[in-house]
Amino acid sequence: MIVAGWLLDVFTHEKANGVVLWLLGDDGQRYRFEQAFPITFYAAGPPERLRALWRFLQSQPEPARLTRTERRDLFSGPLVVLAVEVTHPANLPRLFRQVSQVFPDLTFYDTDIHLALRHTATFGVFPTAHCEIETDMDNQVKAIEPLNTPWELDPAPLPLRILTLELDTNPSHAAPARIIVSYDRCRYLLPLEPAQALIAGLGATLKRYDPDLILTAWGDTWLLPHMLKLWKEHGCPLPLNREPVSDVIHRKEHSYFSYGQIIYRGRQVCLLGRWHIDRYNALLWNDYGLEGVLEMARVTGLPIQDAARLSPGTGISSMQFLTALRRGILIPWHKHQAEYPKTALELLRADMGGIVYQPIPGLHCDVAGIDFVSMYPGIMVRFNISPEVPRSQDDLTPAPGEPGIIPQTLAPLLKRRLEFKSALASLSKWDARRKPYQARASADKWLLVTCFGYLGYKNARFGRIEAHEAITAYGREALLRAKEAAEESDFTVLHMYVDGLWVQKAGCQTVEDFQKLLEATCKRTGLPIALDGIYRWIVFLSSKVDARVPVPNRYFGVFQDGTIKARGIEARRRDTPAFIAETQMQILEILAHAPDANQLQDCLPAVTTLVKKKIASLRAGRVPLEDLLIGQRLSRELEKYRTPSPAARAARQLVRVGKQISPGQRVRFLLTRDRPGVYAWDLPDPPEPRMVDVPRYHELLLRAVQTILEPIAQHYASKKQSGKESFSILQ
Amino acid sequence: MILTPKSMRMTILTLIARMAQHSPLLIFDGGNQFNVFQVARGARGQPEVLGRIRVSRAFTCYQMTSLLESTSSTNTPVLLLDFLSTFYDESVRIMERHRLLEKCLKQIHRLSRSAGVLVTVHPPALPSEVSMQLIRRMQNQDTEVWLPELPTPAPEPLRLF
Amino acid sequence: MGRTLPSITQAFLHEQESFARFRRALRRSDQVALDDLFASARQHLAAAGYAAHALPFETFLLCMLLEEHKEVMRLRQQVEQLFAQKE
Repeated sequence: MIVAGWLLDVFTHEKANGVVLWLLGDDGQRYRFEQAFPITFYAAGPPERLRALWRFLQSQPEPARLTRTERRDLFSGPLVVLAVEVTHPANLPRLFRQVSQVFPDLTFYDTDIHLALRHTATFGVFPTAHCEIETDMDNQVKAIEPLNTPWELDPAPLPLRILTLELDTNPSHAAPARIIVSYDRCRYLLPLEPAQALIAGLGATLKRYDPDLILTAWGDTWLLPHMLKLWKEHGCPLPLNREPVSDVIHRKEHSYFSYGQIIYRGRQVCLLGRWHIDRYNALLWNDYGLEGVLEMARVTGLPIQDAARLSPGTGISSMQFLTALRRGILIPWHKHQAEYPKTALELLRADMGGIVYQPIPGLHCDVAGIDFVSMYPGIMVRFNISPEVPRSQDDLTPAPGEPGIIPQTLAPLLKRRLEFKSALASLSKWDARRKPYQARASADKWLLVTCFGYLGYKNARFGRIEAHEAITAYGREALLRAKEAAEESDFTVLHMYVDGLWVQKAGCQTVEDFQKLLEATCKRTGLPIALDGIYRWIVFLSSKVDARVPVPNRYFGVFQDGTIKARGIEARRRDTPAFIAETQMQILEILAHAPDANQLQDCLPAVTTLVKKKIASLRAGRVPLEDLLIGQRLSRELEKYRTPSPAARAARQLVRVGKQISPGQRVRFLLTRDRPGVYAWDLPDPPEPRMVDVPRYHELLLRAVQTILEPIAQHYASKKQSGKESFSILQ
Repeated sequence: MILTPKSMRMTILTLIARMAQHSPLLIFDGGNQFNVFQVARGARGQPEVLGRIRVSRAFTCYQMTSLLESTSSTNTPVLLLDFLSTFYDESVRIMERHRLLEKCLKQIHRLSRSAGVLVTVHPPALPSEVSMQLIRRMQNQDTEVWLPELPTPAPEPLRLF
Repeated sequence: MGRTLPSITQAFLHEQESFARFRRALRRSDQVALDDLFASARQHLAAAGYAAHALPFETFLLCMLLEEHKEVMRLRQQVEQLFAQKE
């Protein structure tokens, strides 16, 4: 039998004969197949020890095919290894655990790679691929062929059946009473009590509708664990899995240290044969939604549920693993490679990040923002920066020879990002493709951004600090050449920040005026560069603590087309209450109406009115409490705070009512009049409006207003123009 | 071996600068300690001195072990800076950390046969059973162990009024 | 993530801090002038960082001198303008 359709899931378990594939057939049916898929891990070491391992493995009950072969270690080159091929993929983890305990001295490879990645690397079928499967009489897969590649800009959409389960309240505030169930055009409420009716009701829906995707709110952290608990207590079956086994995949919550911060991961419940995505636990769901998750899976080779819950680094490392598997490069279990010795002088020069210039503070007109497009990934690809490629000098020449594993992995992704960028630029505003393209481009961008950091990560299998340092060195060189190109053409460089610069020249106002500079920069650096936009006016800010000290990457401005761009101000900071962020953005929107900087003062009456209204609202208690929430992360365990931050104080309140707060978790709270000065949002008793510390919020609001108006007032003062008086709103 | 609290690390870096006045040095930094500016201050900025110091950083205990194994015996003095730091990492199994430590100790003894080897060890911010075990294992080596005492503050002189 | 060397801003703050005793013993008006000097060095932290000098304070001194000279050039220009106007 030959069936064509989209690949939904690839996994294995004890009762399956090899791997299990679920397919969404072109004919609308869902198919389940099994496929023999032996997988291999490798061992290297002294010959006597490998012989001992051989004997050990032969004496094991699980059949494994043993061969002596040669494979390539990325750092040390060709290596003689013992290949251990395990017939049933579900057995590899257990076998390897034993082997690693008896032979801890050997070096192991390809031991802990996601099964789906192995499958993708072997057959070229990625999650959501359109493919053709040929089976024999026993429904075992004989052959599988991909019918498309992950790189199509606009793949045909999957006709997914999506079941949405939402709770009627946030479970951290109050116990939910009902689930809001929706699918197709159906929508109904399912009470959580009595439990048996709930299980029966949900079970019936699952059976009847047989969704491919269960989309939930709080499904990972509350709803599914709750359902599973009930199921255990009451014994009624619940077909959450499509696969006829009962166990779902459970992952505990944990906090871990990464990239200098503590990151918190909530618990997860994943299904077999269909997907579960909890939109409150899916990374960047707000940014790119389901379309982005599908893109992530397509491009990384990770199954949908993993792609939705990615931690930084997992996506890009999966892509690196695919490249390695396809090229026969061994994937080490542990990273051993350490830094090659440098002299103290070399370390001084190498251990730096990107160039961060101090801006010329104040208001400037007709400024062009110029950015290198995906600078670091572009550098990696263009100059062939990879752990195994010997580096040439810092003079922006590509390292000779074959592209290394990193450029090989990144090149198609970078190309795709550029294709999306130019496609989006040419699509009209109402083209239906805009949204999915933006979502896909967003997912790709996120992957590209994490690649650089991952290269320097201590546990990255193919990481190498020298490569990481080479990238920043090239980045600094490229930015300096861009500055030189600008200054040679008499532009003033107002600010530079890692991969972008802001330039200005009297008389230059249109895109054409800056075109030659762009071309010159591209030529000098060998990297693509683009105009972010031309600002009608832009303000670079100084430190609030010391006005003489300019602050990098903190600015706000209006482009010629009226759009606003802001970085580093309150509205862009994650801990600012929505009420204040909104006010600040609204002020900017009013100012964006001024045709040029000289007429900003005409906007003042409107700004004054707005701010007065907001203050009145605040004082009258009309601002919804939710809009006054401050959200901050806990940077460490509660006990480790010497003087507790407001977030820590709020977290203590939550702990006192029995909630658990881990480092890295976000705590939301209101500022209150009475001690301890905060009230955690997720406490069982909702806060009362009269608790709010109105004077404090008033102060924060005025500070945010000042951020915008103060530099503009100063601009008028320095030009000795009238209108400075009208800025007395700041009093 | 020098066992000190982390507050001594600036002093150690100045010590490194002094040592480098007279001889090349090979440094394996296990705790991201090698603040070049501090060393440069101790060396009065002299590039010849700084050029004599070669440093490799290890961020995991696997990397530290690999560094020691791949260094051939030399008569350049070797300094292992904040040596146990990578071994305090709880995400690596305890048995594994002990196994790697034994491998490292073997290499340290090998290197010490041809050159002086100085190991600095700092206790972790949050001491644990395992970290204490690892430190004790280092102390049990047949080498000199210094435990510099921090100067106790002089008692306040009695005031007359 | 592999950063061992303090950032140039951290190095600057360390140097500034090392003159805290000196600053304390100055008259208030002199303290203001000293603070101005350090603030002017902050205008060029990026270049100081890129320079990767083993003793960053030497670069900071050069920055202070740079700003002083810019101010001299500016004042010189103003004085010349004033003289030209008087004639």
